[in-house]
Amino acid sequence: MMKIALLVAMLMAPPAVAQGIFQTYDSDQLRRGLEVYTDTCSACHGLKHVPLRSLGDPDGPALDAAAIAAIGTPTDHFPPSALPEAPDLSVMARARSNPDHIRALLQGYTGEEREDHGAYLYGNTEFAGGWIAMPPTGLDAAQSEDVAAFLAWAADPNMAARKRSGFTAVAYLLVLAVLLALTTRSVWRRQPR
Amino acid sequence: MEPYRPKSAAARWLQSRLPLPGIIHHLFAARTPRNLNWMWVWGIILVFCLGLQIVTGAVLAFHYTPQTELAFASIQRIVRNVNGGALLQSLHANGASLFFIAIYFHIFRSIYYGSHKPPREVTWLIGMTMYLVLMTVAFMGYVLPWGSMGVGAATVVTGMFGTIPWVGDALQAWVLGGPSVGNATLNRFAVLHYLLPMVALGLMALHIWSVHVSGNSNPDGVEPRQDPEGNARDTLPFWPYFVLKDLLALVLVLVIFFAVATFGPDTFAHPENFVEAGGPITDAAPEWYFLPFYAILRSITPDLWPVQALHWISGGLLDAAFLGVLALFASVLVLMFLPWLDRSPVRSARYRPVFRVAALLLAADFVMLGWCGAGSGEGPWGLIGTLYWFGFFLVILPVLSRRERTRALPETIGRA
Repeated sequence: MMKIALLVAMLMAPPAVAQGIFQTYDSDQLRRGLEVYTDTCSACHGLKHVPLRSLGDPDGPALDAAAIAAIGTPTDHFPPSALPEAPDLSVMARARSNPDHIRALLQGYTGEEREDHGAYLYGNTEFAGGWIAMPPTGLDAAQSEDVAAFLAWAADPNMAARKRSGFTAVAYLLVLAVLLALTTRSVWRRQPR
Repeated sequence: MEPYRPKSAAARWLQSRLPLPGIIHHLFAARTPRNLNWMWVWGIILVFCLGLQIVTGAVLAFHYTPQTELAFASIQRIVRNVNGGALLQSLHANGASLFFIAIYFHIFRSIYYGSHKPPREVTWLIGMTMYLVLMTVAFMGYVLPWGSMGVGAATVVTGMFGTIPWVGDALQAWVLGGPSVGNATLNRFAVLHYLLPMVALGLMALHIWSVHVSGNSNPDGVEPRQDPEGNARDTLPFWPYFVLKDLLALVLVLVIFFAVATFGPDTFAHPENFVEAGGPITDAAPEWYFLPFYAILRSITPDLWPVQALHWISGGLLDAAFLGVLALFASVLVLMFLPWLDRSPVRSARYRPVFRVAALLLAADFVMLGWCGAGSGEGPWGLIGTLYWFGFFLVILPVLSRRERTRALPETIGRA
């Protein structure tokens, strides 16, 4: 019964879930995103939890040692936010329920502007409340997508490795389940009556 | 069950000094009803969960810092810098969800098949005490990463103590170790999050011991015959039959568990918990496993006439907030009294047609309350769910115990 239910559940999994399971990061895109981050975002925002060393991760931007050394000491982290009111972006991509939040926010500016107690607020359809203190960045659609991918990696740099562990674990457990099912069946068939 | 005879000299040596080999022998040789179905596998999954949480938790504690300025960063260090840290953290966080899924199936199996009835009330009471301990542990674990959702939940839950008349404010400050959720709170939560699972471990040992004194309940709710021939027809030894069956169930559950923990580790998490606490608390919601009880808490609103009446009679002492907290605690504690509320001599719902429907409705009610707890809290469904919850335990069960026309029980398990 349980095995049938499991099989049905696997077959009924929506394509989005299946896509999510196999999805990994694209190192070229992450490197482009890193460039956008360095040129634009890092003027105000920080990535204080992200070690520079991790930029060399083959699952991530896969920079070589010289490229990392050009940014800073590998054992250091990215600097924290330069502006105290700009939130740190280390885990921002996991802190919003919409996985497309960062890209949508960067592209969500309406062009409206208003002053509120001496501070400027900018109309943004993705931001809760519709008004955000961050001025428009001027990033185009491709740049927004790249930097969003980079920040997704920064928030969950172990995704690819974790998924590999997952495939191994699930595969071994399925083999174990089949062996146990066969053993259980043969033992129960010989039960004393 | 035949008496234990040590087979090796080493076992004989130990048995005469500490009868540990005998205890282990009896655990595996225990005569177990043949007819146990797949709802009897959740116990082994719960033993696994406690082990998993203790082992992964101990390793996480090597690297975690219970200090408000450092806690959030220390989790990020575990995930980014500790070998295997991301997997460990994901297994521990998702392990709590697996724990509660198994707990709810295990408790519902007891209610549905009457496992709590004589002579197994003590097993039930130990189990429910363990459930209370584990709820406390899970809640504290939710606060430790110092994310805004966990700290918001800590503020709301400890605020419940503040609603108690007269002593509330002093009690709340005593629980928190200060006027608000702060470093003192985080420290004691970290200590208790580590200490209380050891209490749960002791309770689990007592729980299993008591099961071995009274024997397993079973889906037909009739006791196995005690004469040697009848007993052999009604039962099988725990090893190898049920050990293998339980392990198979455990492995199948683990397939799903590992898939969730590695492919979608945030499936059961609140995104807001990835925001470091410190900003204004805009939102507070409990983890999914507390949502049904959260819905009961929120269903007691000031516009209900009994609430207004109690408020007026008590001269303003009892308000909706305090009555909601009472309803919340009562909704959990009423489970403790189950063996004395359901007095029907027939155990299993298989032979109780009306109870069967009422119990399945209780499961549906629990799911609906969870759905209400996740939503805005508006609409009548939370209150309807709360009324059915208390109605089931306090009205339906006592009435059914006397009035229900039950079906004829099988004479033995073998004939069922």
